[in-house]
Formats: sequence, structure tokens, C-alpha cells
Amino acid sequence: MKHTRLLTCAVAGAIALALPVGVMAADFPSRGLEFVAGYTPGGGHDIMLRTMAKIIQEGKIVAVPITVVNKPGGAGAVSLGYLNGHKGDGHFLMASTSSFVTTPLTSNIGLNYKNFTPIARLGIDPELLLVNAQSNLKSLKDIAAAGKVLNVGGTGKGGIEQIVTVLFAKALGKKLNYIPFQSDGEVVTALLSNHVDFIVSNPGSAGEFIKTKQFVALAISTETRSQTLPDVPTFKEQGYDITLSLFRGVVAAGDIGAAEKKYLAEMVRKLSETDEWKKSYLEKNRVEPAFLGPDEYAAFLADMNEVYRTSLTELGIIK
Amino acid sequence: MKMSEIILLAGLTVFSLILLGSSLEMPYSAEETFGPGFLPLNLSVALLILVGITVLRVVLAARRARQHASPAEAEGTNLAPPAAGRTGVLLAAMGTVGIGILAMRYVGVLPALAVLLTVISWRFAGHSPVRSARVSAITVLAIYGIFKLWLGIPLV
Amino acid sequence: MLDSLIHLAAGIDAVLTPYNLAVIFVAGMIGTVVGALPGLGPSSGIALMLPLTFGMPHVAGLCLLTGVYLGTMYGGRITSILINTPGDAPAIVTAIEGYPMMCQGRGGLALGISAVSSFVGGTFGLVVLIFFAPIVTAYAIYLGAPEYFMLMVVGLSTIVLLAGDNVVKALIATLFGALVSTFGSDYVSGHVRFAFLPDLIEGIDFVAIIIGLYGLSEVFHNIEKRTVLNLGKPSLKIREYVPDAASLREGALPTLRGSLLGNAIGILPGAGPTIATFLAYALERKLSRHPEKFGHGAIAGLASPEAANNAAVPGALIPLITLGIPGSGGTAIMLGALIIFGLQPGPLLMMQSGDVVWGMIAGLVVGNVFLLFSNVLLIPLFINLLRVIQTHLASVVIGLCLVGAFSLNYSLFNVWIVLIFGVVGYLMRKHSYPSGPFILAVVLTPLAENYFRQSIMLSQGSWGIFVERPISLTLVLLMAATIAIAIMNKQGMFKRGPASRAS
Repeated sequence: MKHTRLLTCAVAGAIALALPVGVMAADFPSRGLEFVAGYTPGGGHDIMLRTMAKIIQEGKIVAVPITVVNKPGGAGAVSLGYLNGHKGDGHFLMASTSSFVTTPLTSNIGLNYKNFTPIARLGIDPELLLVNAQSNLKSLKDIAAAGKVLNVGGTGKGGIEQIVTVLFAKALGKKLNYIPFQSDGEVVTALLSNHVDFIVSNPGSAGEFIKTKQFVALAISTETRSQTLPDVPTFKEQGYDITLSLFRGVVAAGDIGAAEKKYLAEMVRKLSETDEWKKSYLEKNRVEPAFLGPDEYAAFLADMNEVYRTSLTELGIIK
Repeated sequence: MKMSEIILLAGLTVFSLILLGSSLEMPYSAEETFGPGFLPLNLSVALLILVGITVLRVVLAARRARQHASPAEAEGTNLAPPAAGRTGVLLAAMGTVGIGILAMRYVGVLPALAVLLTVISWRFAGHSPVRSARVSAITVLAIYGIFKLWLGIPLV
Repeated sequence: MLDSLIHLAAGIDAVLTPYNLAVIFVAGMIGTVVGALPGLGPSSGIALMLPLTFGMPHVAGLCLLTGVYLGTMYGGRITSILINTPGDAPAIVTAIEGYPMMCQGRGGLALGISAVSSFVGGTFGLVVLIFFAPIVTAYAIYLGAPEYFMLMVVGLSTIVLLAGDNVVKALIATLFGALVSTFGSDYVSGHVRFAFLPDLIEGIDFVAIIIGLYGLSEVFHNIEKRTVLNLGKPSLKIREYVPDAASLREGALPTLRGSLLGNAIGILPGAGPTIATFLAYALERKLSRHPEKFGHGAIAGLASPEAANNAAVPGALIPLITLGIPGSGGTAIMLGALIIFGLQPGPLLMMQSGDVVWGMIAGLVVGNVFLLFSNVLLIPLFINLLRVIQTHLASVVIGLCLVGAFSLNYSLFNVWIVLIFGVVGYLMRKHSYPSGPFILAVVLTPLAENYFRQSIMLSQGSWGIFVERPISLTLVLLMAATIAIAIMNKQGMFKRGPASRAS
């Protein structure tokens, strides 16, 4: 049974790819769309695109078939190269998260966000400042008043967690000792076992520990309070101007026609308004809905690029 | 020292020299601990020293052997039995695989693999061309069935 | 304890439907095949099966994924033993002892022993998972960077055992491996090291290295030497492949030790089955009365790491189930699957969706038994399949190696890596530069480097952190004691030497 299903998928994919290629803006799309994931199957990009493809096809938002292809490697660099190779062709849509901005900054790959056409931002992953419930630190004030240099855990060096920490340290006017861990899971473990004083992490892995009252969230990095975590005050309302979140969006190849861009933007907008999307993607993955259309997303990407470029330079990671 | 060991050590030398050069561009130390350049720099220097020691040992041993042994014997060690003529075959096999991988880029993985496998079993495993082609076709079909049809891996 | 048994009984009751049993059966077979294929390991196996589970009931879907996971551990050993090409990283050590046994015509025995060890390891791991998961988690999270660093140092010290006769050559291999591992992004410093090509940003894929180093280099070696394997007489009698009592007895204690070690290390988030197998192998070699047999088909050296890598599977599931934290690449993808199923992984998982989790555990228990039988029954098939393709082994192995490497990332870059390390591996082998230290350095160097830097950062610059924490101090003292004993033994040997000759 399973085999036949896979076989059908493969055959459908083959047919989709074999359809005649001829890009005319008037009859776009002239063949199946291809969703490009820059990471392996089962990763965040892959799951997002597969959920999108499923909802778009089941909801008949577009008539043509959609295939998801994985172009993993080089922290997204391989997929950037792949999409760039299809310049001017609107049949490709690629997932874009922070690596879309940071990989071109930290590695010399000859491409950056400007080489692509932003289509939409679909959501954001806010950052939480979390302490262990048994900790003496009960509020941001306690952190400000702490007599020693505090250890802060986060995922990776030069990532959003560190940038939030650096901004926070600047606002406090004191030193915070940031320790990079390899994954969100390790960060959570470090706080569970009190190896660090507090962590900056997204709600994905840490959220359940707030429910069990093992962790307390002291601040969230969104503009206004989150709907899913209404009790958590924002940095802003506590007097620290930190609004910075990870983003999840989609981009198309560079130099595509205006009609194609409009078509893709419309498709993604319709998708983002379905209940199915909210239920089976945003809620499950604890992503905050934060839709931006093509132009706003382009402006947002330019902003993010500046934030990362400044921070990475300050941290001595790039020159 | 045999030619192949010289190639290996020369390769290691070039490899560590390249890494040595690029690790000089990275910070050697960080605020409290060592930086990203620390490990590659020290490791590549250590590797270069060890390769040097190995070469020196062989050279010294050879010199000692030449001094102690009679000229005829020294001549004998130099003319140690050649590698039975298989070295050329091996180099050809390695080259064939390389050409095969290069071809994958242009004609796709499976077509190039089919030709590559045929050539390998015909020229290097000593089967007749017909048999080689048949077995290679079966192998590639099996690979196509498992990897592409069943597991859905995009083998183009 | 009793609670766990009641839950387990309910889980088994839920699993014992024809549909679920069929799913577990198929999952085990898929896992075995995927694990056996070079390049495809637990992560890719689970990821490739993920889309199939979307339409299934939760218990069946999870059983499919965990069944594939466990199956890959059984499958990984098959290609290691038959063609010296480890199917995935934890199967490397299996090749060190298993392939020599194959060459001696004892391939059937090697497959049989390793299947039994896998079963025992898996069972042991499951028992710990069923009864002690919460307790184990409570202790495991208190291990931090300093303990992990010390553990990596213990792991690196096993290089001494894998070194062979020539210390300089072993050191060259070690340093080369350590250098190879430094490629790619370094998450502690944020720098990307040696990314001469975009493909190198994430570093050189470890699996591509082992496919080249073992699989392809073996082909080159055989082309040069015209080696033909001794496969014994063709036979389909299953009795000839079931390991005899004497061999099983020889492997019994190593299997138990391997189970313990593999389970303990599999639980630690971030470490993993690969390290467990190397440590298990080193331990056996240290304990063995015939260390000279290692590398030439020692049953102890085969059984223990095989038990270890299977015991690590339930071990890696413990932090996933109790905390929602994946301890390995495979469990990271299972985390994604849980989210897709609408289960919320985390500390509440057992309370909110206990029935599904216990169903999955029951599926693993059933799957483990099933995998033992299928893997023993399949031995004649594998041996005879190999006999059929024996004279075409060169082209078949090249085909599997190259396609397997391509499947890692769907790119030709890894195929080139395989060729490069195939040639390097051939040259190293020809001039007896040992591959064990090389591989161990590739695996452990980045971990040791990162944990060391994290430790120093945590202590804000003080090196005292390694002796201030009880577990880390214990590891330091243990190592000091080991070294002291080793030195004393050596002196003792010198003293005893002449005396024993005199008697």
C-alpha cells in the first residue's frame, strides 16, 4: 500500500516536471510549481513547505501540482545558488528564515537577499527571556541588580539569541556572559540543570516548561504581547527597547515578472488566511502569525540584514 | 619510501599548509578561551612536524643502510620488486571513477553510473563486455528502484 | 515500576492489531534495508518515511518511525560485515571486526552474533526506557559541558588502543582527522572555517568520509590485489547460520557491557551511538585476554559495539519522551513528527498523550523481537546474494557508494568527497596509517573543542571547573587512575619478565 502511494507520488512528480516548459506571464503558471527547501527532509524549512503545499493543493488555491524539493547544504547556500540558477522563472518558491540573511553575511557566496524576490513573511518566532523557576532572579529588575556577571545561554554565536542578549546588556549597562550552545534542546537542558542563570530562547522547545512551571518567562521580544503567552510582558513595556524575532517567509527567484510575483503573493496570502494553516502550522509550531506582503517583506529583510550586519561586525565575526 | 607514500605525505603537507594559511586569518584567542583559529593552526603545525619527522627518519635510515651495506645490496634495495604492474591498473580505475562522477554532472547520476559500472567490471574485473553491461544494467535498475522509486530520492 | 508494567500492557494491547503488526513488520524491514545502504542512516530513513505517516493513526505512525529507527541499527551492520562499507556511522566499529570474519569465511557467524547482540542491546535499552526513564533523565541533565569534555577526552584516549605498532603514523592519522573535522561553521565562535566552496559551510559530511575510507578504498585495494573473498560453500540451511553455543558464550559478557555503555551514552543529549560504539570496542580490547585477536575477527569486539549501538536507540528516545529534547539526528526528526501529529513534545507529553507513547514503546518491544528473527533468517539470503554478485563486487560496491553519497545531500559534492577519501584511505591502508584513530579524531575533536570552550565560558575563565564538579572530578580521577595502573602494569611486567623466564 505504502509503496503504491510513494510510487504514485513519484509518478505524479515526474509528470509535473515533464510538462512543457515555456514561461509566458499571461499563462502563468504554465507547469507545476516547485517549492525549494534549503535543508534536508524533516527540517523546519521542509516541514513548512510541505504543509503549505498540502494546504494549497487540498484547498485548490492553485490548479497546478506542487512538488517540494530539498536542496540542502551550506546552511542554505546551496539552495540560494539553485534558486539563483532559475533567475526570471516564477515557478520556484523558497523558504527563507534567518539563514537567508546570515549565510551570505558570514560566508562569501557571491549572493545576498537582494538577488531574490521577496514574496511574503508568514510568521515570526519571538524570543523569550527565561529563568528557572527556582532561581533567585524573578524579574528583569533582579537581573539588573545582580551583583555578579550572569551566564546567559542561547543557540549559536552571532544568532538572534546573542543579538537580543547584547542589546539587553547594552540597555542594562552591564556585562552578560553569553554562552553559545549547539541546539535549542541543549539550551533548555542548561537552564533545567541551572548551568546558566537565564536563557534567551524561542517558545518552540521551552514553551512546555513554562506550562509545567519549571521555567518562568520574564520578557518576550515582540512589539505587543503574544496571544499564545498573554501573561508574558514585552521587553518594551518593561522599558527595554528590544523587538527582534526570527522570521519565516518565502522568496522567489530574482528578476521575475510583475504578474508572476503578484500570482505567488496572492497564493501565499490566501494560504495564510486559511484556518487549516493556522491550525496545522502556526499553532503546532508555536509560530506567531505576522503576515507581510512582498514590499513590506522586502523592507523587513533589508532591516534584518542591517541588524545582523551591525551585530556580527560588533561581535568580530565579520569584518 | 615508495612513490605512493610520498604522494600521501606530500598531499598531507599541502593540505596542512593550506589550512595553516587560512587559519592565520582567524582569531587565535577569544575573550576567555581560544578562538576558531587556535585548533587548526596548532594541529596543522603539528602535522607538518610529524610528516617532517617521518621523511627524516626514512632518509636517515636509507643513508645508514647505504653506508653499512655493500654497494650491490644497496642497489638491490632500490630495485625492490616493482608493484607487479597493478599500479597502472589501479590509477586507471581511480581515474575512471573520477571521470564517471564528472559525467554525472552533465548526463545525470544514473546514466553516468551505468556506463561507469560497465567499464569497471569490463576493464578491471575481467568480465566480457556483454556480461558487464548486463550486470551493470541490473545494478543500476536495482538502485533506481530502491533509491528513486521507493525512497523518492531525486536521482537525476 | 508496577505502573510502568500496566501502561506497557495497555500499550501492547493497543499494538497487537493486524494492521499495527504489519506496520511494525514493514518498518523493521525498511529500516534494515535503509540502514544497510551506505549513506542512508537513521536520520534519512526516518525523514524519508515521515510523509507516509501523515495519514496514519498516531500509534501506527510512531511505530513506523521508531521501527525504521531500530531497523537501521540492525541493518547498518550488514554492509559493514559483507563489504566493509559501514551503512552509517555507528556501524564503523562493526566493520573493524566483522569484515575480517567475512574474509575468513565466518561471515554468517558474524551476522548471527551481531544480530543477537543487537537484540540484547535493544532489549536492555528498552527495559531502561520502560522503567527508569524519568529517573535517568533527572540525572542526565545534570551533566554539563565539563563532564562532556572529560568524556570526549576518555574517548580520544582510546586512540592509543587503535594505534597499531607505529606511533608516529597513528599520530599523523589522528591529526589529519582532527584537521578534517575543523571545516565548516563553528557555532561557538560564529566563524565559518575553510569554506573554500559553499558546500563546505556545514563541514565535510562524516558519512561521506567513511563511505570513501572504508567502502571505496576496499574496492581499490581489491582491484590492485585481485582479492577474492572466501565465502564458504553455498548453503541455504538456516542451521549453519545460527551461532553456536560456544560463540554465543564468548560474546555474552561483551554484549552485556556494550548494552550498558551504549544505553548510558545514548541517553546523554548530544553525544550518541557512534561514540558509544568506539568506547565499547576500546573497553573490550582492554579487558580481553587476547587483544592480539582484535582487528582479525574477535567476537568480543564485534558483539559489544553492536549491542551498544542498539542500546543507544531507546536511550536516545528517553530525553525525547521525557523532555522533548532530541539526543541524536534521528530523534530530532522524530520531534518534528510528534509536532506534525499534534502531540506536544515536552515534559507534559507522557501525561497528555501517554497512551500514544506507550503504544510506541510497545511497538519497539515487538519490533525488536521481530527484527531478531528476521535478521537471523535473512542471513543465508545476504550471504548467498553476495555469492551471486561476488565477481561483480567491485562495480556493485562502487555503485552503492556513489549513489549513497549522493543521497546524503542530493548533491555531487559528497560523491567527490567519497572519491577523495577512497584514494586517501587506500594510500593510508597501503602504508599502514591506521584508520581507527583518524575516524575517532574526526568524530570527537569538534565535540571536545566545543565542550572545552563552553566549560571555560561557563566558569568565566577559570580552569577549575573541571575539578570542582563531582562527576567531572570523578572522570578526571578515573583517568588518572587508569594511567597510573597502566604505568604500574608496565613496570610490573618488566619486573616479572626475567623471573618468569627463570622459572
